[in-house]
Amino acid sequence: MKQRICIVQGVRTPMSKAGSDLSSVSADELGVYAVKHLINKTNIDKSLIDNVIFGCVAMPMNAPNIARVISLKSGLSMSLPAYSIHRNCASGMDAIIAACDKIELGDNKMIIAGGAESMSNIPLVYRKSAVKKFTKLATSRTLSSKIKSMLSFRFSDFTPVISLIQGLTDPVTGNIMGKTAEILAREFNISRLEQDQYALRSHIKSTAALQDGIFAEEIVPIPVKPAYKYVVDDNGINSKITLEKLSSKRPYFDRIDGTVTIGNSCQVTDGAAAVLVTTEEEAKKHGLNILGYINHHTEVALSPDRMGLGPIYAINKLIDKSGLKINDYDLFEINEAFAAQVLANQKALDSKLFSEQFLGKSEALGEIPDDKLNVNGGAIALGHPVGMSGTRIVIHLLKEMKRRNLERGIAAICVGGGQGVAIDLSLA
Amino acid sequence: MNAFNIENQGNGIYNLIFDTPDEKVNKLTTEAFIELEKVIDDIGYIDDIKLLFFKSNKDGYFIVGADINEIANITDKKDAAQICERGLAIIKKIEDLPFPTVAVIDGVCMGGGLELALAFDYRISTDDKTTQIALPEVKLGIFPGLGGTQRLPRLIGLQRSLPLILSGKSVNGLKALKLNIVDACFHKEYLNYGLIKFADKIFNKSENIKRARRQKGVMNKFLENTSIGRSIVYRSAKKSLYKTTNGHYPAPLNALKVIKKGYKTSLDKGLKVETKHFADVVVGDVSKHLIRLFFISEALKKYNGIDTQNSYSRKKIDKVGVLGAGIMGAGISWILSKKDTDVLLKDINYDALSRGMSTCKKYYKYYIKSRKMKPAKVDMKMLNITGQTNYDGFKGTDIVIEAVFEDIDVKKQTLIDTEGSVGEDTIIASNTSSISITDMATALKSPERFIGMHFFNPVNRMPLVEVIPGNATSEETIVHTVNLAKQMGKVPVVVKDSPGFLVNRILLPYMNEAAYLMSEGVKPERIDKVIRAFGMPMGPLELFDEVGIDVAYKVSKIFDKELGERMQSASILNNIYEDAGLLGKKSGKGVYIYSKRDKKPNPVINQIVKDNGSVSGDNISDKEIEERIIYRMINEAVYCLQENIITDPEHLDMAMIIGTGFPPFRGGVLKYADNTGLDNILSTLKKYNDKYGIRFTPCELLSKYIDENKKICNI
Repeated sequence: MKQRICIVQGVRTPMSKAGSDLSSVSADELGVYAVKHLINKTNIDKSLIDNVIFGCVAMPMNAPNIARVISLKSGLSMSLPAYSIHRNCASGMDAIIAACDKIELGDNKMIIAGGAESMSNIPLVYRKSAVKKFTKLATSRTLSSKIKSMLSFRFSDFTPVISLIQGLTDPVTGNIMGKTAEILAREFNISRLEQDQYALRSHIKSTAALQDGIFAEEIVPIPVKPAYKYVVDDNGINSKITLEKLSSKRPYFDRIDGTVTIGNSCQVTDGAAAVLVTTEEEAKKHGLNILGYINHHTEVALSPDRMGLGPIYAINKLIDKSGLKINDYDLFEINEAFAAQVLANQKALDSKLFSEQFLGKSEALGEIPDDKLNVNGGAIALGHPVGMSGTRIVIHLLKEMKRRNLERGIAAICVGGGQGVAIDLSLA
Repeated sequence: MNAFNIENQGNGIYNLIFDTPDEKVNKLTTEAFIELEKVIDDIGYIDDIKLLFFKSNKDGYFIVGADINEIANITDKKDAAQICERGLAIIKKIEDLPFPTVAVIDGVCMGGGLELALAFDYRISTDDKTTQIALPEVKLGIFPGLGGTQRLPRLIGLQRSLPLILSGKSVNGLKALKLNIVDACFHKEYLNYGLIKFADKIFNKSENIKRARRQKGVMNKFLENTSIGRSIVYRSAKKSLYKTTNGHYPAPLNALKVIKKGYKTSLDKGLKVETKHFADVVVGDVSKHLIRLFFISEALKKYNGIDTQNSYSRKKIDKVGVLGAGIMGAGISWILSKKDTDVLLKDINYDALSRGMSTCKKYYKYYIKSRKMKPAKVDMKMLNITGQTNYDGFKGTDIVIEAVFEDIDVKKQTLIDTEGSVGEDTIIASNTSSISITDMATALKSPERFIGMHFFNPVNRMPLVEVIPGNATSEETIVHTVNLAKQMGKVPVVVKDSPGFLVNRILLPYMNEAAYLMSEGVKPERIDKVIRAFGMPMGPLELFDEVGIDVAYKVSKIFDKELGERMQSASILNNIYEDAGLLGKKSGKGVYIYSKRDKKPNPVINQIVKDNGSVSGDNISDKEIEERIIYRMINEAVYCLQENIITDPEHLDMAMIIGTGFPPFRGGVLKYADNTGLDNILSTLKKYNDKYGIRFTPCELLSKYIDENKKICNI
């Protein structure tokens, strides 16, 4: 019989806006804290772990296989393999899926999977023109040619290319992610007001969850050099935000007539998360409490310009696999890349026309009511460390299901470049 | 013994291999020397020999030096001189071999080993990390007596050789090349290729190897080759020696003298001077004391903390919980993190954890500054410490060390919480300086896994750990705890659970007596000066300020209550602490007033003494000051033996030396008592007992030793 795969426990670091509290902590160090606390929290014997898989989008220059660096710095065995995984925003979720696959294949029994991202530390790079001149300078032999190459530099050569923006721009269509949200807003007729209201709700829900100590159940506070001051909470949540303030923000991606602002988009953030994935049998053998089960997972691809619709395609495939209906699920986490993007998914799910045209189904998939979706807010309030969010929403969904004593849920995430990934989770 | 073998490698190259049978290392014992002489004679008869390599066959060791046991047994100057002369004659035979000779130093090369190597025409080292080259004799109270003081300066010059001979520090293979001690340095793995290359160089005379040893630079020429220059070098070396030894350690001073006398004369004359002075030093007390301490520390390395022969499988300690991120908890965490042990550091809030982590980082800063560690390495070591406010992960710890506030109720509650969170075999240790382990153990369901571990402040620098089993503590717990302390690089000593344990109990009467003397009108600075002259690193009143007058006062009150009348604290402490509110160095004002750079006597003390009616302590002699303070310490140490606080007098001596800085050249508290004469001490104590009362009542065991005509120390 097929073994059920489960998540034993999950933890995450606080999430801090890029350039703020956690900016001096590298992505691998963030990951180390998550892994060490995960091991402590589960009291797992380290020697039982047989793989470490981490998602990360902007791999640190000095830790190109971040999973291995995290593994070694966490004090895990040198003989433990580790690899990193990259599917943009889904990387953290893909790490969990990869762990499932490895376990299902029988290669591994117990895996630490997670995501780590330090968007504060995504480097600025020299533009191509400058790199060429540097190369020339380095290969100049004579004094005169050295001077000549030095004189060829212009001020503009030293204006850096911001890798962060490059990374958030689709290399095929040339659209920055916000632009894809603008496309969805237009096509699904989502007004600026709707988007701002959604963003406001995200902050309100997160504020309440913060006050209720809901996030504290998954956060491990981490010390920040040089004073080793502990960062305990997420710092993106704005409890004082109002609709007026949100509506006063200028459109960022389409300056002429756009609706997507930085207020109704996710924040650029640092953070890491990790989960322990194993089989039900293994967990019981070693006396580990099971947080929840992974029933199915799917990956899909679609037009890069409409990458935000990744979740609906992934969910569609997921319910085909599970044979359930949308309203059989009790709770959803759809990563909030943009308010417009989540709203578009919600509308598409409830649209017969969308089903007919794009999913080849005669009926709408089904409505996800607001009270089942992102119930404690999402990336708009908390932030979106791109490689980490996929792990975070899985952890959060399981813990919230447990709190509410609910049975089944779906976590889904859209992926830059036009993909979508979803996981079907249950408590029992 | 068949320790030396000759091997013909072909082409006129012969190898002389030193491989002592059934030993891990090569030592230059008398036996080895006798055999070496025979072998050298044999080599002289080989016709086709063109080059000799001298190698060791012990992995990681070239020659570790002379046999320290033999040195320890030398009691007569004539014997000493004879032993040196015989050794020197054999070494001379090597030097006189008519063909080129090369010592191949791969591994530890110490003392006599290096002196032997210096007689070869050339030396080669490897850059392996086991290759450590040194003349460490001064650490044992002697100096190189087989030509080291003469051949090394002649080889590498005064400026380079003096630090090596006078401090005994060791250098690695690469550094040895830079200092010209060796003529080439190869990777261990490529050593054989290197030797062939080196042999070629010698055969082809393609390079003047010896010429390359010359020092360059005008300044060097002036300091090495002119008598004015040399006298500058000697003078500055002497000055710094006095600064570090206070003149208490004759060996380095004698070594300097020998070098000075022998350097510019003929080698033979130089060696004679060396032998004469070596004989003086090797039979001296200081040397015997330092060698004894070396033996004790070697024995302590093997010591597992229990008296029975039971053996327990050694538990590797991977994960340690530390409770409390204060100065002690942070210090303990720091050491563990440095040794790459996983630490779970728990405190009640994150601010406390931040302070603890910062303390750890502060200790690491020295390593970054002195380039012993790269910042990235330090960051990684810091990651070994996980700060937390809960007991997550404590189930997997091998041992938990509690270092919370020194209050029995707080500690008991902490222990109850801990026991509920740890695994079944986790050892629970309490870092305490004053609370009874057996009392604390009552809070636990399984007291057999509970033990005291008294670290000394500052934890990062003080090597002593008192391991204190309670009544119910199991042998296994003791063994594992002793092992953990060793794993941390500490020296553990097992002591009985009793007020103040060992070191503080012996130290307090010593401090207290200084306070009595002060209240009798003796100036504090005079008391401290007398005791520093005795050899203590710090005077007892300076120590009051250092540990905090409040702390000393409180401990003193506890001892007063628990150990009886002889511990009664000097009433002047009431005036200083309770009336005047002086706290010591931490508040800037104590017995002394502290400014940024120095300290001066606190006039308040003078006033207190005056108010108490004492005018002048000038009638009290320096001798009395020393005797009253030191003899009380000795008397209390004997009490500790009598009460079985510690069973081994050697352990007591070592604990006092590394725990309080008792001067090593005096051998230890009890060794000093033996040397002074127990009857002298007894009669002096009796005299003071009559004059000053019960504080000086001699311990019964002292009289017992005298009656039985025995000494206290075993070695």
